[in-house]
Amino acid sequence: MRSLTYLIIAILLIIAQSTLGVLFKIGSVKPDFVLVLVLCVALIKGESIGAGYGLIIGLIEDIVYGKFLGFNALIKFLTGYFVGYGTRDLFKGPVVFTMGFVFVGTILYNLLFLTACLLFTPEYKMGIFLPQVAYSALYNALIGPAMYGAVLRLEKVLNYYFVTKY
Amino acid sequence: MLRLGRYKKVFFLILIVIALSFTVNITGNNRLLFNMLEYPVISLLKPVQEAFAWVSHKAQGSITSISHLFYLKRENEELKKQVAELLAYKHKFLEYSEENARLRRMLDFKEKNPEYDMVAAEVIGRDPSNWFHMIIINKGRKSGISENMAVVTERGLVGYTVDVGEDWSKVLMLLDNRMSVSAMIQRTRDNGILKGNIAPAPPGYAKMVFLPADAQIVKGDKVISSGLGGIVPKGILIGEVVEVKKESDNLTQYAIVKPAVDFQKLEEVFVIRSERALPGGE
Repeated sequence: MRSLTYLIIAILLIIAQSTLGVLFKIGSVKPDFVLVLVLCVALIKGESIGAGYGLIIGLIEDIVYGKFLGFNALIKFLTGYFVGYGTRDLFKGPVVFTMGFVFVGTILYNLLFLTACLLFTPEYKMGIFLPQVAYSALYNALIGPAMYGAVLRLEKVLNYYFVTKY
Repeated sequence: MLRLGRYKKVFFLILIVIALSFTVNITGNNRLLFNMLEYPVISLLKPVQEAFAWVSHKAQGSITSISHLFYLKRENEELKKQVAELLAYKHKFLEYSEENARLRRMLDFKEKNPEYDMVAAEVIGRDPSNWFHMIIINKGRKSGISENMAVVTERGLVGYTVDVGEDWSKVLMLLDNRMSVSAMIQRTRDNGILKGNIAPAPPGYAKMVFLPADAQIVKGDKVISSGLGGIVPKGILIGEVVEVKKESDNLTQYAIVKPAVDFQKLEEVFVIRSERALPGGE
């Protein structure tokens, strides 16, 4: 049930991102709610679940919006894994920390994306990379704490209904 | 055991990366395989996507995007700034326009009165109290001004200088209670003394005393300076009569005079330094 809930959330968020994301566009940058969700899940649940969730979300993105299967899945899988692994022993309490992790996570994601582009689609020409990455990381960092709080709350609810037994 | 677990994890990680890389390559080269996956999933998600897209279009139709909101906000701020600047320009323009009109009137006055040697001055201060009617002007001895010189505007008499510095002068105005100027009713030529704002003159009015009891003064008569006393030259407009009454002793009468000059709006004045004889004059 927990997995299904996360899957439904992922699908809805992917669609919302693709349709409503433009409403949140500032300049040429829009927040990547889906990536932030993967990062937050990785922060909260660790590298294995973070990577798995990234993989599933990436696969859905590839199928629905991609040109070939596995591209987004690979990047999000690695991002989820590295962020979960890199922060597993770190204290994540304050909001600023969450923002920092999401910021670094977004930069890591973009670096992986750039690498994957170079490897798999050499015909794809990267535009102005650094400013775009920086703005997007900043934007994601701003929505990071809200998403982190939402995932924590969801976990509490799921725990209450599906784990905690008196 | 722990090391084995870690290796297992790394092994899986590498395995998944390799598998995904393969998938990318395979589906990149074989569209058919990708389409087999693509069609059912997209068909399944299409209704949800359409619903979200509808919401998005509706929202975009009204606000376009959040960035547009920011743009509108910025544009609004810029426009506000421009409006503020333009208002400032407008105020300046009106100010200059007013000043221009005033200076024109003063120039006209000066040209029409060549018999007076006048110096223009700007009012730079006013007595802050409610009791005295004194102003400070920005010209003094350096400009040839000395005590007891008449101060006028194009509308009429303001008062006279009572204290003069190097580049400033204090002017006692008509409404001050310490004021005393020889005046006459222009029409009847009856002489009197214009005191300041003393009872029973209401605020803003002056009292003219020692008018002959039989003088036929009526409301609206012009009051001009008589030239007696040697401070104010003869013939300068002081104001007009608004009320005439007999004194309690019935020997003289007094008039309440409304000054021609609006003392609240004084900005530029002339100080009459001297009277000069006009060529061809007596």
